[in-house]
Amino acid sequence: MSGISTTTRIVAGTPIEAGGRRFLPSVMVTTLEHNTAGHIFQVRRMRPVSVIEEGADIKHWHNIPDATQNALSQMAAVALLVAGMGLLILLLNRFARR
Amino acid sequence: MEEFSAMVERIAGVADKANVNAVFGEPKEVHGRVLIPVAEVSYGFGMGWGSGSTACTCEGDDEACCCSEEEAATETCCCDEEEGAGSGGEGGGGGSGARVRPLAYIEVGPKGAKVVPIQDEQKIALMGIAMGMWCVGWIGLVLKSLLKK
Repeated sequence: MSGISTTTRIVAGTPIEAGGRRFLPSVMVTTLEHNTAGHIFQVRRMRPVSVIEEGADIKHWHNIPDATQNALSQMAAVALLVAGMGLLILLLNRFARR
Repeated sequence: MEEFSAMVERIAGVADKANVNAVFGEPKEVHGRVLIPVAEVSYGFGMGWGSGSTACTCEGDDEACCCSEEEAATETCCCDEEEGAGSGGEGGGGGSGARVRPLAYIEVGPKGAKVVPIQDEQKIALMGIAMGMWCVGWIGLVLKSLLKK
């Protein structure tokens, strides 16, 4: 499919003032778009990456984790591991019986 | 075409609202603490449009029916109005959608700020059930194979 383009970039958001501190957010923007005569589509995903906290004498970098995605990824990894181990045992058992 | 233009404007409005600054919400004071909501924002839209016309055809000796090729491309050139020859049309359609998924909130206290992640427990529980069934299936398959004589 020609004409479909995907771009990913990190964009700085508008600074937020809260509790006497200043927060500088950054967002990862992934865009999938297609634009030709007669039809157009665009899908955009904006995921927060980090926020920098600026105080009077401090400057901290806070990562923003996707806890749900991390938990699901860990479960998927365990499921793959179980399947791999099971397959290995089945193959070893088959060789042992020969 | 006015309806189509209105739809394009509405879709463009959705895209404008779902900009980068929608990811970090406005700070809110809750029970003496300042919280900044953080979410993942996704949106998509698609639209298509087109137009067409039926060219005239000259049949027989009907001189009045004939028209030039340039005229034939327009809807005003019509040999047989009853049959609708030479008529044209246009149309379009589209749709859009947006999704906001809460990821975390930033809690701002006197000692500093901390990011508190938010977990979608329903999704994790469903995945846990599916994974449990997957593991039980594999263990059963392995045991069946090992115990088979």
